Amino acid sequence: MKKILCFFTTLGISLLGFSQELNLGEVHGDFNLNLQSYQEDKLIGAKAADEIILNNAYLNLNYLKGNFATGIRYESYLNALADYDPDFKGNGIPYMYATYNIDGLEVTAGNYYEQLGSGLIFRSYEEKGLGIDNAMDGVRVKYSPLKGIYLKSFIGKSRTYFTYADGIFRGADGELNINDVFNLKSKTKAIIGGSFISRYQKRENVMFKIPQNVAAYASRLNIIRGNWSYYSEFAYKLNDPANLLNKSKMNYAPGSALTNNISFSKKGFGLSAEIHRIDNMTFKSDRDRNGKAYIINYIPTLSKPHSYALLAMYPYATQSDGEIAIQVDLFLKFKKGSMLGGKYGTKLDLNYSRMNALSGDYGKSFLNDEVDYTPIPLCFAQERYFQDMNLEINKKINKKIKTTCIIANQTYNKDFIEGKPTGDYGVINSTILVADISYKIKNGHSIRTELQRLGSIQLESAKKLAEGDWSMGLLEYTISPNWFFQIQDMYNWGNEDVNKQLHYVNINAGFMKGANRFEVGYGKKREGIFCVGGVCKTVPSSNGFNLSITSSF
Amino acid sequence: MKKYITLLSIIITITACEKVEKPYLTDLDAYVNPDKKVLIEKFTGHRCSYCPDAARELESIHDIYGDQIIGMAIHIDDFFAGPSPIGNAFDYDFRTEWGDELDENYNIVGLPKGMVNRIGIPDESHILGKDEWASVVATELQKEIDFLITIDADTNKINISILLENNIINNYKLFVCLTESNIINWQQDGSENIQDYEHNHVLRTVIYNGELSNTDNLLRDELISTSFNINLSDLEQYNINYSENEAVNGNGNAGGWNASNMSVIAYIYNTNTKEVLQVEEAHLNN
Repeated sequence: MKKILCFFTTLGISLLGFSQELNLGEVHGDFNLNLQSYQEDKLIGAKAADEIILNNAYLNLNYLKGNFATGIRYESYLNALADYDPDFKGNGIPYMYATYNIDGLEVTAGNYYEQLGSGLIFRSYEEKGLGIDNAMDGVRVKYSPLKGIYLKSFIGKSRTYFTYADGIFRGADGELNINDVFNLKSKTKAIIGGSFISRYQKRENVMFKIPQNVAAYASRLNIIRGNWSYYSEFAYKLNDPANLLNKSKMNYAPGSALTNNISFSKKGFGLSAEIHRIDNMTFKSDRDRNGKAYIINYIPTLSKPHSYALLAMYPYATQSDGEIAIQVDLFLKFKKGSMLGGKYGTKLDLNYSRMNALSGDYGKSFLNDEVDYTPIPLCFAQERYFQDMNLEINKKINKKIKTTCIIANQTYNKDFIEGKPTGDYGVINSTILVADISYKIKNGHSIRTELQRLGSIQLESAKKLAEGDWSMGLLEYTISPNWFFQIQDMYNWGNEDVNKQLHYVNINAGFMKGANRFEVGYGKKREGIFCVGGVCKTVPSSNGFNLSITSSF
Repeated sequence: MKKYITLLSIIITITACEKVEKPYLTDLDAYVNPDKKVLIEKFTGHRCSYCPDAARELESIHDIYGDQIIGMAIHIDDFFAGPSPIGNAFDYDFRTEWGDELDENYNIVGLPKGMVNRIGIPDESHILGKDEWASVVATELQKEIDFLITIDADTNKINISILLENNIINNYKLFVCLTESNIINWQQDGSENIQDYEHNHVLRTVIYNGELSNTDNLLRDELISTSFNINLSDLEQYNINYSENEAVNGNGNAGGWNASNMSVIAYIYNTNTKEVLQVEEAHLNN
């Protein structure tokens, strides 16, 4: 409460000071509320909430004047939605900051989000859908002494729920745009960068040596020429053993990550190829704690993010302990009037991704008094974690009808990805078909339908049966710009257990006006995995009403 | 000035790291694997005057290592463990069919004696006096594990889950039994006959002694789950019948079980060497 009073006093004084110049600055904000009721549903394994209704809400308030900005976020979890970590509990202002920028120097005190390179060694970010918010609390300076030179340094602790993790992070980053610095007129542009992060955490172990300062560094290169772009980043993390007492589980091996991406694009054609190798790169804000709230780096997944329900039924979670992955993406647009393009043109997107384990029993580098193992640098012969081959075609049939069709084949190592005991479910192979058709009835009125089917098999004998085949249908009616109505049904008709051949029906309606959006719904959700960018959470099954409000000013 | 401040903070930051070198373990002799558990099978009898010393040694070792030490008291030998006629002191029969089998299989000579994870079977050095237990325990607790056992039990059903920590060839058997503590009854302790002696970890019955899995190769992270339905009254009656009909000088006074004081012990042993690789104990109503 003292913090809140202090903040508003400061804000008031600031406003008073600025008002003397008759320029009060600007105040912006946004609000979000998600509320859901939870009823017991034994068929789908949904539990009732003791509170009946659970709720997540937040309000952002930002004040801007010239080069100065300050703001807060009020968050409320009374209590947190069932798919959130229950440690999000209560109300508070976990985010507040003040920042100013003058003569190329930016100073921030309080909370801030930060990322070094692509995040391989450090990423502080917020992803409400996953319940992740590891905002930093501390100070940060950024400085650009010359055009093309960008320096930054920070110190702080990482947020975990309504408190902060034990580790103190010190970070630095420098980036040079070679063309800008040397005023080159070359068609080839090059940007190089380097970053460093160190975590201090006081720890004593009666049996083992534990480093209190754990460092990681990374270098990156980005070259752009014409339609070509190349990005590479290499990261290295020094010894970061967990604070255990078990000799066989102590791992002093360094971590490393190498990612390479090359892409070519021109009108109507795009090609992208990417490979990364991740070895022992889990980096936490508290070495003694588990859970995504304590992860402080980010390894982007190389699998395509799918939004259709059955395509996203078996999503891939990046294995920061060890994986080698590739992805190739081909985009084609056939011109209007061509044989394949037809009257309105046709878009085609072909995507392939594959993730395998690193070699060896450990699946990562391992080093202690008795073991010294480093996996083979490049090998795709090890256990396959995931594979996705998919083809998406977007086609406008006429002025009223637009279609999207997708065919995909996915291989999903359920035991490994979901942390199940080996042999429980084994590997699941799914073939998925999606048809998305929009029909414009008249001005402002359109109807959209999705038809999806997933057929799956377990590739090897397993102790437990997976869910088998699914179908999904969706019907959505939109009255622009204010209303939409939606009904969908996911049906697990192919479940070997006849008692689990269930329908998951959801009904939603939304109203939008100006900066406000309201949505209400009722339905059943299946237990599953939800991922954003390779970071995943388990979603429990649920049955109930939901209300969502978003607003901004 | 601003750029120097930023550069200085960057330079200070990049000096903040430590690399530790081998050996990582600072004190090898003091090392204890926190996941390893050790079984001490203590062979005893209520008329064995030195046996309480062995029980006290077992408790001392337990005080040092806590729940990593699991004890089992097996009453054997017709002279030391045989009961008096009913109505007299020492008239309770702690012996069981399985205790007598263990006595015969492992050639226990003289009491008190014990086995620590049954180490030493091949060279017949497995029968240890109480003062030899602690050093074997210390060595055993340094060993790495292949199995993690968890027990979920009530008076009707016992669920055992075994998680494989490594890939191994299946050469193992699973043993599941019930023990009882806080049994107040007669015990000779030195020159004294104590009427209200507290007998702990007493082997009551064996639920299972058989194959761990029907597969030849066990994979790391594999979970072996097995369940046993039990009927305590039937098991208790079996002991009474054994005492009455088969045990030498038995009198049938082997009942009076108290489920609230009973525990499940499950261990995995090597079929060839008989070494107990891992053991777990849980209260019957955990």
